[in-house]
Amino acid sequence: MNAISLERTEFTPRVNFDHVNFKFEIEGESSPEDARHFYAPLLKWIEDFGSYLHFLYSDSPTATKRDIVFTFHLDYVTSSSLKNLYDLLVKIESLKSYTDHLLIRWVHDADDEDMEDNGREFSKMLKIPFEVLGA
Amino acid sequence: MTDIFPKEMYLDYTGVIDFTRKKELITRLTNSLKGMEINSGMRKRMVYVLEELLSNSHEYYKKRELPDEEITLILELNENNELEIQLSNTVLKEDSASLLEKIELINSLVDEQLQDLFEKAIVSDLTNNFGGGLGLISIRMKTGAEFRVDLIEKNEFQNILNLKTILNLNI
Repeated sequence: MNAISLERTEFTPRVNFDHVNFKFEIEGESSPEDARHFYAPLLKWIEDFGSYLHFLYSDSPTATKRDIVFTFHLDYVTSSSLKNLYDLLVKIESLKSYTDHLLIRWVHDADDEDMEDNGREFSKMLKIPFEVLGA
Repeated sequence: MTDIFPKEMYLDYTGVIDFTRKKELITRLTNSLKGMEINSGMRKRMVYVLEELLSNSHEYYKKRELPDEEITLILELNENNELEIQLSNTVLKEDSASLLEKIELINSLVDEQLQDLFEKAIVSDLTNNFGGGLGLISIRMKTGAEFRVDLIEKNEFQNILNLKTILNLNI
């Protein structure tokens, strides 16, 4: 599988999903014309990453499972993006059988109550460790 | 009370709506906010409310294959430093009753119930269901204001839906 590295654009966030270095970050604005189209490859990548981890640990059952931390630092998200972000978080949740430490780190600007609320809402809806941090 | 915006701050647009025009209208709003004493969180909230309202009209026109239909958008600042956003768009008569019902439902809910509906809309796929989707629910949550809504007959098959919300900028 290949890493995903997308530059930030006016309406889409920077995305770095790097399975080699275990860096998983989304940062910026998410208000694309077609959120489903933008997020579909990211959802697929998480599925592939799960398969990659499955084979990795099947081949080496004694291998130490690495921590997985996904960092979201979004400063503006439309409702259609929010729906797709939730779907992405659910996919990420499915990775928990491949690590002893799966964490979502949701970072919001200090004065951005709305993004903080979104993070807190997601944290209630998911069954994985979830940090909401003001930056 | 001192107004934080000059009275001339407003947006007025009549025309078709697509993604590019939506973003242009948002840019016009953000340009008019430059230099104003308002925190970035509230600025983003204003943009969000405008974007979601415009998206609702845009998505409805796409879904019903009405690309040539127009919207009318008016943003005004009232004497209480509240931003009044009024959007008018065409709706088919066959959709009008269910649409009104959904808006009335959103209006009738208290915070906790809105939260529940919001979660249901996120988990299920209500996003594209005009009038019952995340956009309107989240606008209601962010503004705290009930939508004011009325329908005017346009022709044998269509109505004009006027939807208005108010965002208190003093918070």
